[in-house]
Amino acid sequence: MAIHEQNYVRYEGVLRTDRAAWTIARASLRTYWGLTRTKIVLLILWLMPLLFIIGVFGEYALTNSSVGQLTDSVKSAPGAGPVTWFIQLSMISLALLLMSSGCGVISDDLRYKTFQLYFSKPISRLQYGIGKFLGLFALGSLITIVPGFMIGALRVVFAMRTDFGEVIAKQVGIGMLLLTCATALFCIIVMGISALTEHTRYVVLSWLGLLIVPSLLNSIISLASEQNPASDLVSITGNIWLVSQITLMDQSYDFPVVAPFIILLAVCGLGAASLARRISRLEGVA
Amino acid sequence: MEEGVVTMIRIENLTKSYPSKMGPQYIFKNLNFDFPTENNVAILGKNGAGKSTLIKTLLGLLDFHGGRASVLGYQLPQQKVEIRQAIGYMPENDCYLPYMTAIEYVSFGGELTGMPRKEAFRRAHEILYYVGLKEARYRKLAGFSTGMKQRVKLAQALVHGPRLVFLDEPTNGLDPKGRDEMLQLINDVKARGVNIVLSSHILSDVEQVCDSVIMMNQGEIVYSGAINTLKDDGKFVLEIMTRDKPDELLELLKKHSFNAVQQGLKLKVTLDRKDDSQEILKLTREHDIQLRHFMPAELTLEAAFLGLIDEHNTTHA
Repeated sequence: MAIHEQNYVRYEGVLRTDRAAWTIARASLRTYWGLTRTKIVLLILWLMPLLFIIGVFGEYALTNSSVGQLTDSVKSAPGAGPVTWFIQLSMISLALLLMSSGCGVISDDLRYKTFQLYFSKPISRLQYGIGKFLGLFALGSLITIVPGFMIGALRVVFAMRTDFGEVIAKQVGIGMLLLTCATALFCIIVMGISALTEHTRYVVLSWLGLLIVPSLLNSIISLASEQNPASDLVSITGNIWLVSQITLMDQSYDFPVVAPFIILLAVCGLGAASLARRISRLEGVA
Repeated sequence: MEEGVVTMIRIENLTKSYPSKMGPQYIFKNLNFDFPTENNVAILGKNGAGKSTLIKTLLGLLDFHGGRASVLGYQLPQQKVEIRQAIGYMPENDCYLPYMTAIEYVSFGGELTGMPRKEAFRRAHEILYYVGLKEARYRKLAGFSTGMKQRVKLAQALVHGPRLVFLDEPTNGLDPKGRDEMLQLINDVKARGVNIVLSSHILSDVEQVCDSVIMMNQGEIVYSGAINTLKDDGKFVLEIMTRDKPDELLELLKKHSFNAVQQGLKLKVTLDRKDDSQEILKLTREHDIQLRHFMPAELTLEAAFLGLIDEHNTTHA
């Protein structure tokens, strides 16, 4: 390879340090998207939202049909059940997507020593953390927020033609808020686990364990306690289910309704603390 | 930024340690040096001497536990963002994501430094072309040879047009031709007004690129200053080869407080006075050591380095 065929010229333009988080987020998303498995998993997981979209069309067709007019289906607003189910199924899809493509979010940087690249540039550790989070969040939103928004918007548009537009809009609004928060929560937990090791396979196993073991425990307690809803408090997905039931369906339980919120916040805090610990000390890493 | 004359690197009593059960273990302690902007400095030392740690500390990657440091007039750790904007860093390790292409990696580096996206992409093409990666710039880094990886790392250090570049073992793992090309490239960058701080243990590389040197041993500076001054410090180097007892002679010379090191089959003895060579001849005669070669040698950087390290080790033994 010949060298010096092009002269080295100094760059004299402006350097801005306020966009580093976006740069990292964009590069992370591009990296995830570059993986073939991401596209395959997304393609499979999008079947669920497609079924929901068909369901929305079905709901609209039913309310406008002669059958619907004859029955009670158009006399009361549709319940929030489908929204809570959509959130729950989206979270399972998100968990799978993160497992296939997102678990290396920090561990890959540890493994390939990319910390040296990032922190030899004028970026702060906070910008790095935010950038990585935004990249993972953007990936996660492809299977949660994006289909949620599409289905929600469709439902609202159809519902506006009926007397229940306001009710449906409220359901969709709360549902979208929950989806956003739950996506952020999952991303922070995965980042927290990923910050613990440079072996991505351990991150995948830990993430799987964190979802499955408490869910099994949840099922056992539920069976033993004759399906007491408090059993949902032991698992992440159970807590998300409880939160969606409380906010969307005004359910009341024999335990404080703030309990699932506090548990999810605590788990989120642990993930954030793990990440903060890793990037606050670069000794032995950079 | 500091008032008055801007120096390239200024360090005062810089100390870095890590805690252990036996108290703080010092990676380096009370380092002091000051280099003006026109210098190209090499940091020399054996493996584990603290060269890379010093560079990472100057970049603000690692914290330090005492003293003061400034790079290009910017104080550490308060102005580490400004320092990183003004300098480029070529790390020793392959710190890249293997599924990135060279162009993606270098333009990403430019964007992280704060360049606008399009500009970073354009510059990445230019720089990769400059370092000799033409069509290879569209290939994934995972398939790159060591030489190509070193060039990519250099390209990402240069993409934003830094005033100063830290190069950590840039010729590591390169074949002679690759090494020569890399040094040629570094010299070209230097000729275009970019200052170099080179960390290496390959002394011939250092002599080709730098005019000043910091020699480190066991976390301390054993010499800092111009390479020429070091090589021409009034000392006299003698090259000796024995017929069959090099170890015995080495021991004997050390016993008589001579600064001697073994290099392959030869012994290199640094003398304060030329007349001391007569004393060595006398010793060999007394101990019946047959000589095959006994000649004055030019004091190379390598000899000066080994002599200084040996002297330092003896002092601290």
